Amino acid sequence: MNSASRRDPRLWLLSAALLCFLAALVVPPVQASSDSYNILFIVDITGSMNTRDYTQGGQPVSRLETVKSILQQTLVDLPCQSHVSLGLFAERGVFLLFNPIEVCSNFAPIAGSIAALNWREGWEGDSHIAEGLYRAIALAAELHTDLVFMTDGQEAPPLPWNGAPSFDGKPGAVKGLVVGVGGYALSPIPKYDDNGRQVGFYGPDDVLQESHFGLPPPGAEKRPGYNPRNAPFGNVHINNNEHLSSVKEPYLKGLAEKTGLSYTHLVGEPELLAALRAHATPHPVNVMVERGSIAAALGLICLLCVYALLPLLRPLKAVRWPRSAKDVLQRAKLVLGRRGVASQQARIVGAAED
Amino acid sequence: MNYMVVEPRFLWLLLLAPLPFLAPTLRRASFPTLDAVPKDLPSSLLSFAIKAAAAVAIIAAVIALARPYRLAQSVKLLATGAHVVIVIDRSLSMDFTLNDDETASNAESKIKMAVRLLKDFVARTEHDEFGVVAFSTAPVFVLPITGHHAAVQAALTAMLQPGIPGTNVGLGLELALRMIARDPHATSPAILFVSDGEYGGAGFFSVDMQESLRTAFRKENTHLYWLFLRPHKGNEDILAAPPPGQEDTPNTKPERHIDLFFKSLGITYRIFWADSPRAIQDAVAEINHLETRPVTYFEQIPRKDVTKLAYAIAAFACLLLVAAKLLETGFARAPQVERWTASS
Repeated sequence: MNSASRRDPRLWLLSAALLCFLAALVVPPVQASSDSYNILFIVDITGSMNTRDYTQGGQPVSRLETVKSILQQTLVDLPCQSHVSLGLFAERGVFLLFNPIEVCSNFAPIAGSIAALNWREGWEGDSHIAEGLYRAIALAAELHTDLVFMTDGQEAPPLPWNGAPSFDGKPGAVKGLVVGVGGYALSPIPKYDDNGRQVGFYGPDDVLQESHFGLPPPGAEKRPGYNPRNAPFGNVHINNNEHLSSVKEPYLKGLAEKTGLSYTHLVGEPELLAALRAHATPHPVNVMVERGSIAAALGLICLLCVYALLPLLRPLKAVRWPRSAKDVLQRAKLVLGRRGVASQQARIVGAAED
Repeated sequence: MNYMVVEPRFLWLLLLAPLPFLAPTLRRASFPTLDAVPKDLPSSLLSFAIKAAAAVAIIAAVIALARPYRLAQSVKLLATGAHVVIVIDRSLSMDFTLNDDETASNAESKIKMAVRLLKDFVARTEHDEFGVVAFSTAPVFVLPITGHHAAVQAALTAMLQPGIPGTNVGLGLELALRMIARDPHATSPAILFVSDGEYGGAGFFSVDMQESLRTAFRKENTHLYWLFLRPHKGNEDILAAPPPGQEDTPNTKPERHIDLFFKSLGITYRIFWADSPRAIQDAVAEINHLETRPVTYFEQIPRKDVTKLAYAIAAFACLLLVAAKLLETGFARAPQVERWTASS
């Protein structure tokens, strides 16, 4: 190594890059704390979830399909060491598919179970959402998880006039989300036969339009055809549009408030994940964070100094700025005049001065 | 070879890779033109190698910033074991004890016993893969066929939750067969059917159902084991033909006719009449023994971070460049030439 080498900044920059990359190789990862979540997902699989009021790539898709694709994506985005449990809601109960399992190492089977969610797994057609939600909360408490209850809020048969049954658990003991699934406008509910083929949509006469369980609502005696014994609800057909479905947001918000959960409307995966992060219980877990990338970035900057910055600076330094008018003239003559020889001369001069 | 990066936005920097071919690494010699020097292959190669080393250093550094990783892979291996779909009856009757006693709190319910022994079964086999189907009125797809035993155990634990009224054996088996049909690696599939058979006749004996089951069982060439959770009551054999004079139809003896149907399929079929925890244990052990056929299974190799490799490559390339810089001599006139010039 001679003094010229030592004066060359490229040597020092390249040595610095080398040191940076070596540092990146040996720097140990640091332990950092990150948040993981333990969540019981309960998915409503009753008939109204077949309503196609979401769109995906311009095609209408059912609420259940939307829930499935969003859950699959959520699974990808949940931090490792999160635990996930999955259950179905139908009738008035929940059916647990599996207890909480770690999401990263069991990704394939969980994703497979989500993909297989199907309305035909419903053991009964009724949909008593309030009761299902209360059972789900009890189940989440038993499993020590948060709850994400995904439903459109369509009670079938309709609730009696005095509303949903009361919640006798402790509000807020289980944290989590009630996720309202479906559009805000009323849409027809597809009707299927026993073999799973669609045979049209539910009509006004296919479903109960009003709950006739329990006592009639106050004022029923003013209804046409009222008879205290034979027709306590009157005898006139009422159409409450129960054969059409939309997300029953006020009802679900009410349920969420009553049980100490939070409500969110199902729009997309990022929104669901944000709501989860906001309302679920974070469980700090230790993760190893690599710090090598900072050193590697410095190394890359050194390399770019050698190969981008210095070459850009060099011509500025090397330019022989004309010192007088005579100089300029001479150069112009060189360029315009005997071009061949001139260019050769210029090259030689340039090289010699380098 | 499947590699991916965590931060693809850094990959734009790869456009900087050709820079070393445009800018010099070494000092320029104060020599008028290279035309004056004869063409020399080793020199050209060396010059190219230095530029290439610099380009490699930049590429490796950029890729390291993007944090590359090798995708999780599965390696196909051969072992003995089986692909078993566990079809569990989750009707309410499974919540009772073997003696159909709801009240005896100290006795284990049928489902508890079955789950405990099944979990044992799963834990004992290393290379078996399991799928889980539960059924009551409707069949429920619980878990696809998987080698993740933690997930299988979690699914079996979940079966301890209270059952659902209704029993539809046929739909449960149909779903299990669909699961097998969809599993591309089910080289030796088996169905482990766990049921007490109570009210099992519902819907099972319809012509459509039987035809569909018959076709599917033959097509998949599935082995079938029925863990029949039912106590012996006196000397009565539910599965044997009734004494002459009594009606012998699916309505009066559904369990017997389900058994007869399975026997008529022409597949490997066995019924294990488990009337005590001990008997169930024996049955599970025997199934375990029977289901040791060669199967291909897939060993999962988790995703691996290869950023360190990129750092190492970048460091090595830089080492070459620094070496080139240190060995650089610069341009000097040879002494002889100087002497010659001096003497002239």
